[in-house]
Amino acid sequence: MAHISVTDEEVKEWEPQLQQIVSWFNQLQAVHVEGVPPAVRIDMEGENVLRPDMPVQYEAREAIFSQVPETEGEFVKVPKIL
Amino acid sequence: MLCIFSSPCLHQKPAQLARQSIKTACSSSITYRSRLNSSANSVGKCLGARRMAETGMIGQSQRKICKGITIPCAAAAAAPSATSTSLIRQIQLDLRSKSRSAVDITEQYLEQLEAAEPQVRSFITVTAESARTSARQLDERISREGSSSLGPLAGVPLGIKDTLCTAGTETTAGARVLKGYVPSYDATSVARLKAAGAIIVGKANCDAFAMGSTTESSDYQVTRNPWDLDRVPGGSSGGSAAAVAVGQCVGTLGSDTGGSIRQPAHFCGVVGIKPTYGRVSRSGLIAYGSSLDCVGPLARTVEDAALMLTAISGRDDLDATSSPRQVPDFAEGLPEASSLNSRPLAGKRIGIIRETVGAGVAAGVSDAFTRAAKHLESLGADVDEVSLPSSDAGLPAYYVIATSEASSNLSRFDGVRYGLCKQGANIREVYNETRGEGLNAEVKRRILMGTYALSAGYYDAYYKRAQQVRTLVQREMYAALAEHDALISPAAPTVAYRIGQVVSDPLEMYKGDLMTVNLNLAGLPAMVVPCGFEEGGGSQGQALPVGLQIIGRAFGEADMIRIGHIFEQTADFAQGKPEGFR
Repeated sequence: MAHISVTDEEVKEWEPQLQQIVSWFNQLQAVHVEGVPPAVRIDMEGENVLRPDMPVQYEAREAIFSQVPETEGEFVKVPKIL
Repeated sequence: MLCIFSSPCLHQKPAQLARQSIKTACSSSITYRSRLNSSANSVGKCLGARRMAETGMIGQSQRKICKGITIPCAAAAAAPSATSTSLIRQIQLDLRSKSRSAVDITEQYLEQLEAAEPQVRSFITVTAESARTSARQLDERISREGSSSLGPLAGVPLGIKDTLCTAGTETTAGARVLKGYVPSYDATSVARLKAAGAIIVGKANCDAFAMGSTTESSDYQVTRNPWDLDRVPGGSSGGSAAAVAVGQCVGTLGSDTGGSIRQPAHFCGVVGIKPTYGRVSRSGLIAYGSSLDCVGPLARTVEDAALMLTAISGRDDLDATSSPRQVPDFAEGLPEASSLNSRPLAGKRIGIIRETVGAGVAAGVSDAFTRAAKHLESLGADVDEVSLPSSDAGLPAYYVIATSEASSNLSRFDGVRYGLCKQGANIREVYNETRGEGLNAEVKRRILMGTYALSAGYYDAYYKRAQQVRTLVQREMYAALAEHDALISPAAPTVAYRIGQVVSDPLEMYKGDLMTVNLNLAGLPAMVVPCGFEEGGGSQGQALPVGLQIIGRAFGEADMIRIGHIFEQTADFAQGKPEGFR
């Protein structure tokens, strides 16, 4: 799911570490949270923020494209997806 | 010889400054910190002068040496005397009185940067040439237009954590997957520093993607703690903290997702501020945990950090979570030590968070913290204990939320748009191989944990439950701050780790974040101010710094900073600097 390749050595080293961390996470199960709403956002201001849905021309297009590993013409090139 | 002068009185006229400058230039090498409180006699102390006498620093020319680092004499240019301890205020006075040029100031700091860098390794990228160009342009502007329109940070050499984008300068976030990445834009906080006249001297080292508490997880280099070169500077803003501690620049920007400004400030004996979530725009900050990330300053004094925070704060259209609230001048009205009465914190209620003291806290940290709390009491504050029972559960909740958000945020490193790209037969292979090679062990572990916590069968047990704990933490913090003006705790359970001490045991490292993560969960502002030392704690018996964490109300940075400033100006026992550095 994470799309990360890991080596056999990494699996061997991390397995006990990750198991230890996940069992440490499990102490959350002991906290009484019934009826407590989840903090889905940090909500410092408590208001939603809206802005007009307007396209804006970005001036530094060339600088952005200069960072793309593979381009073809004015397009970003990616490997076959389907 | 090293010559450091404390700042002149702000209302002194340039002519007075010039006379004093001639009189005292290079006549003393009084350490900056020990001068901090030489006028704190209004609280019954005149410890600065006593300490200077004790350390034999009065009237001597000193050349300090620490593990082979020799510090050349900073030009005998700074104006002397008086009461403000702010390096930034000093630079503003010098530029306006023409006692130093921007080029002089920049060269002085670049010299120090280069002298210390081989041992400390604070910076991934040094931008010496562009800094010189900016300084030259500033001097030309001053000679052309005068100094009346200079920004509040004019000519101030600053460093930027490498998690913040800088237009035209490589930005890696300490990660090899971004090696060679040159952003097309400045982070808003960086742009605001530049607009205020700051001169950027480089990009500071950090744990890759800010994931770590030691800066050992940088893919580029290990930064060393200037107080003890066998120890880490903390993390993830370790380069930012070390650079300030060693005088490579006046201040730095860091980022703080779970303590990444405050814990390095504690390890390195400097001031660090994590503002309220939303106070400073996150635009251009390479995201780790978006609901937790904050950008903030590190500096040698509270006043300098306050000046930087004022410059970077405020609403930004590029970050919808940035607050539209008015930004006060956080440095305005900070009292000088000489103006304080004997109880400057009278009427302030300060709560010690009970869950952060006692068992599990190293004796040296505990002793320094207790002394700091007593000092606050002696300044007139009403100090008591407050219990936040959800604090302990906040730590695993934080790691569930931070890793979950990271697993989403770091999916952008796909080898398609920027950074490293490994070839593959299909898009999945490109993703897997690019991330496999471009991300280090700690980053991969956190992405894997976050992906696991968000996966369908475990979402309720981990992510949702962690968010519920976050609500509990927020409620308890807000309730405590309804009764108190500020809360305090140590910044971390121990002083700086030895290099290699915790890097192989991730869980042990995570547990060291106990004191800081809950403020990110609650979104509240918190700062760290040096509050003493663990004597003999270093590998060669050096004293290692300890920081006091002060927690304020939401958007209450001004009050929090005032308390921190008064503490700093009066706590002579907390002052010091690593040997061999400015």
